[in-house]
Amino acid sequence: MVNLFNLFKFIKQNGLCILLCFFMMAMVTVRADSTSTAGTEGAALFKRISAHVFQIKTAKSADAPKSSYGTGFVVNRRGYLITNYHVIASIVHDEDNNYKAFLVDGQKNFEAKVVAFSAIHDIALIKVDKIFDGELSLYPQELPVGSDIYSLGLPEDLRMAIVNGNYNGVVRDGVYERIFMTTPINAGMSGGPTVDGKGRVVGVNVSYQIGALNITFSVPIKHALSIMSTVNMLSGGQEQNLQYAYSVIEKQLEQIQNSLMQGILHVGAGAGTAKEIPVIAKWRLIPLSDTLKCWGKNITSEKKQFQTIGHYCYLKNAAFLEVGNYSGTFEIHYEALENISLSTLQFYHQVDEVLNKTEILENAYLSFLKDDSLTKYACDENLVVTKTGIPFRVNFCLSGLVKYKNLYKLKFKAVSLRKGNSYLIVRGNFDGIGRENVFRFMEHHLAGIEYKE
Amino acid sequence: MATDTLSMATLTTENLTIALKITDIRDSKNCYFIKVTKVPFSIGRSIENDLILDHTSMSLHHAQLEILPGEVVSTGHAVVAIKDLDALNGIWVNGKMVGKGETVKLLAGDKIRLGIYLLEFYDENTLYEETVRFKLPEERDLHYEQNYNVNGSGWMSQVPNSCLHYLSFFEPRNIDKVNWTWLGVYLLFLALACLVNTYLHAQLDEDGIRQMILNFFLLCLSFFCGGLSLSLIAKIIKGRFDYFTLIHNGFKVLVIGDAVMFLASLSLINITSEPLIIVLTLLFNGVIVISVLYTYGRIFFPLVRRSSIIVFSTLLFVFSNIGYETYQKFNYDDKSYSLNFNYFFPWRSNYTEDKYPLVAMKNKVNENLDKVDKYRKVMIEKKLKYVKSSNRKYNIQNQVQGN
Repeated sequence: MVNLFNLFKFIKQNGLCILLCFFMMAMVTVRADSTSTAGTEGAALFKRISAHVFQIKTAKSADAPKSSYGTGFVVNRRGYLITNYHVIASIVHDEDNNYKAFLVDGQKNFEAKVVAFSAIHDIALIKVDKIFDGELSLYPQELPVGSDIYSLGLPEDLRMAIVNGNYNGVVRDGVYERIFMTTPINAGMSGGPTVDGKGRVVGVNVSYQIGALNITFSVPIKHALSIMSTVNMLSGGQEQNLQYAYSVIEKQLEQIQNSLMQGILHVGAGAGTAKEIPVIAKWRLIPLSDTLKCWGKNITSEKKQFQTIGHYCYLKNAAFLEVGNYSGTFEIHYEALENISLSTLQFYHQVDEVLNKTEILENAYLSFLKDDSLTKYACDENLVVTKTGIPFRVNFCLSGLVKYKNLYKLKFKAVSLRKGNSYLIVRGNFDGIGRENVFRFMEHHLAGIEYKE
Repeated sequence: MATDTLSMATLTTENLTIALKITDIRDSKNCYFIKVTKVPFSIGRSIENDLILDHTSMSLHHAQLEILPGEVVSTGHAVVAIKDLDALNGIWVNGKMVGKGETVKLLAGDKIRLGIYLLEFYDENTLYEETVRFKLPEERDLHYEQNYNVNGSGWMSQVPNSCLHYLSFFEPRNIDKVNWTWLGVYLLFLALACLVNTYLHAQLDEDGIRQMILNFFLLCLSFFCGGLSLSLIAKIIKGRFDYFTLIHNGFKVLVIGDAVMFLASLSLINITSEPLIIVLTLLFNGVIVISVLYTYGRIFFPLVRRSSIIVFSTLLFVFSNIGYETYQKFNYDDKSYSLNFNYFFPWRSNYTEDKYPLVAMKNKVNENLDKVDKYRKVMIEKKLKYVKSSNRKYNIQNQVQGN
């Protein structure tokens, strides 16, 4: 939506710019045959913006080959840049002090230090010992859907590039917020700026959807502004140690899981009408949050012997911790198995197979051997009957995040007693859950289920 | 006339594992065993013989045990025969007289009559019905009797009143026969197991029947191959083995074991928290495992007493279960998910909310959270041992400025 107030403010402050800017705005709104006009706009923006955008790499030393790379952009000419947290995460977790982050400026490399970061929003503020010629301006407001936006960065380590697409609004996913864009960003452009037609940074490039075409995302710039506000960019810094970084991450992860849990527990709270409750076969489930991505399935087995009806939900986003390790995300699956033509004994056996086929811990044994960021699993089994009179046999497994002491990984599986000719299987997992929420998570997803003949 | 010296020679003949049980027919309560360790082995009244049987019914050079060249019995060793040395009273083998100067083949269990002596032929390498090999008592159990005399052929033993014991231990039978009845019963059980399995997987149509027949053949093939490979291994280790005898004897045990297993699988019982069902399941599993261990134990260690093998198998089963449970507790990935037998019968009415309230699970959750915290502590302590002091410092400013 057009923010008229800002427009007037802008006009008041920058008299000279008005015509030019207004001209550019007009150009933007006239979309027909816009290839030539878009071409010129892109070129102009590139010229202006790219000077403040740099490659950020991690390596053992300035001359050593890159071990990873991304992009960053100047937000304060005293040497502060914004990039993604996942671009420099390995430095934060590097206990043996092997790797450093560098800003690449032509042939010169400048060592970068991590000054602040948010694991929730995947943003980091880094400082380099260099005074820059300029900085980019940040625009934390939402743009009208369809606005032209441009993302800059170094895709696949090629060269500085600019790509063009459309702003398609902000998507909210539990605690995670992303701008949904269609700029074709690629690996290497993470951490680079996404600017509007005026060259104001609206987001920080963060991800693209695998297997899709041009479904890409950036972090709304307001999150960068909030971590910048915690830092006094005028004075120099006080050195802190690794433990501090871990405690920052731990606090952020706790925040995430708390917010997620609140979202789960208070679905539909405040909404005027009753929240729609998913129903599979005769099982009435519990209301689930809007921010979850849910999909259903209804499959009849070959020879029409039994039917599987499922409702599967997951949270699309997660917080990046280290390579291959995400946290602050959860999933919940409900699956009803309905008997059509099998005998009771055969059906029972079938359910038994389905239950055993999907292990709670895929490769868990191997993974905790090579992955020392998780403890080994402690599992248990329990028989419970909910208030609605449905007995469940619950199996759950817990593992601890070694570095973050109040956080765990929970996986559980519950199977109901046979009701009518149907069994209900519930599976859920939560990465990065706090101690006090473990039981609540399982309880919430089981307690409200009803079976209606 | 008894001679009062006994000489022990040290000559041995490889692969000769024959023993003779000598009984004086006038006094059949006592018997003597002598291990034949050389061939030819001479028997007679003269002191030059390897076995001196001093009685007037014996000729000076009465008989001789020898190896028949070129002949091998099914147990893979040479054929032993007895030769008549023109004995006055002759030699009778299983009631038939051996011709003057002739040689008659001996098989395990054959009874040889020489004068007043009854010699029974025992062959250590023969497998008998109980798949036990004949074993002579330890040398420490020996004491020497003056009536018999041994010359250069090893040692002799008398174990008082124990002839009966040895006899029951050891009933030679024709080992080349396969027990078809038991084989038939065994195959029947296999077929039933396949049938149940196919039914459970709801494949009882054309496809399903084909599948079932295929399963059956595969199962038979796997047991056959299993047995074959075991006997090959035994052959390598022990030097001789008789596959047919293995099957013959093994079937009985396997049938019992499989019958039990089949019944157990029908019941679909898995370990639950109900003590009776746990006991029953352990019992079923125990019988199968112990009976299989027993079969193979008897095959590989035929010299060990039956009772010892049973005890050993039972202990092995018990400790491996305990070991497995303990291992699971420490290295746990997942508990079994199989549905309980309880679940199968929904008319179990004791599933009420007050008996199994949801909140009670909280305790288990906390227990496991505490366990995980312990694991974490251990991992951190381990890591601290290897951590070099961290030089890496982070420039994280903690001065907050407005906004």
